[in-house]
Amino acid sequence: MDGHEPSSRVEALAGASKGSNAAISLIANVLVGGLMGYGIDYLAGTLPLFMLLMLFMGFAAGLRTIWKQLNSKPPQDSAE
Amino acid sequence: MSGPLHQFEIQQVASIPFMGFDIAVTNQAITMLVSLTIMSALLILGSRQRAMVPGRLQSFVEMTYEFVEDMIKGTAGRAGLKFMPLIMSVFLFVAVCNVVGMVPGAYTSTSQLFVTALMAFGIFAFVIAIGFWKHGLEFLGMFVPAGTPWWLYWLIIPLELISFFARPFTLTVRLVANMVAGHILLKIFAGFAVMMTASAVDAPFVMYGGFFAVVGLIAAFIWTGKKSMLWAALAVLGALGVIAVFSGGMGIIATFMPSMFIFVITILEVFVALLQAYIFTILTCVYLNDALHMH
Repeated sequence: MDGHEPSSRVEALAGASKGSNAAISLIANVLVGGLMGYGIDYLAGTLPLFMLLMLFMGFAAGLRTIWKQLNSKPPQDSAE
Repeated sequence: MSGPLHQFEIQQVASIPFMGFDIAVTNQAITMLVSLTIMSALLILGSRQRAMVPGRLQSFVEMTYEFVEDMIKGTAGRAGLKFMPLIMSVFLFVAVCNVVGMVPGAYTSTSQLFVTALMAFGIFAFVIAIGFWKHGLEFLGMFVPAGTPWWLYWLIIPLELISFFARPFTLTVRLVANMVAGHILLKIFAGFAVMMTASAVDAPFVMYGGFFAVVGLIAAFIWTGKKSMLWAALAVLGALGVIAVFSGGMGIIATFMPSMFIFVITILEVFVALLQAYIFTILTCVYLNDALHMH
């Protein structure tokens, strides 16, 4: 808001999309992590171990995703 | 009156037996076909004339095209322009489905998990295929970001794997959740409006209340000069009339307010419909960018 005029309409929309992403990213990452952990446990027969581990991993992955989304830069056009 | 979730029910309209299966034609399938027809008609009619000075429809189509083009260039770079047909289709389909869902009585096809999940997982599989096709097995290097020290591999690889596989789920859920939430909100406020109207006896309440209030005011004025029981009683009746006017007025406002909310939320929902189409598309571009350029 501090005199930060978006240069185009696309950029303004991109800001809105970033905000809308964060919460669902976090939840989906935790759930997918837990699911993957449960899969490992199901195959290895070590039920609560990997599921709990991967739930926390999923939380970390969710935070990491949000961090990356908020810091994303436009790509270099030369990288063809 | 039907509940707020009734609008998401799939109803079978007709059934086509096909090789032992039953291809059901549902209200949802019909809305999707309508959306598809609108979308195709828009593009075909808009690009048919190819005028140098575009007419209204043609300039709308050109604006949409340039909007999507800008979006791809901004996120996936020039290399992403090869996938223009896919991304344009995704954008138009989601946008048109969302907007068709805003038409009263129409079904919102993007509120069904199956529709969005099919698109999201399709895009996900497509992106993986593009990644392996462009980079071969080096594509697996995407799970190890550049500059990671080797003693952090045990942590970073599972993290990257989880966030990679979470992508289609976020894509699916975000669109469905937004569409469902908006439509439920609309339906609930519509329910309030109907309930208030049904319970309100507002108009006669206000009319008679107003009459008694005026009579009461005059009576109270006379009572100050000529203190008799009759005028006092009439003044009390007037006070009751004032209360009736207020409560009846409140009833009218209470009927009116949900309608105003519906009006505002409808505008908001049309915006959300377009915004969600935009988000769905831009994330497709971002994932495509990862497959094309890695990071």
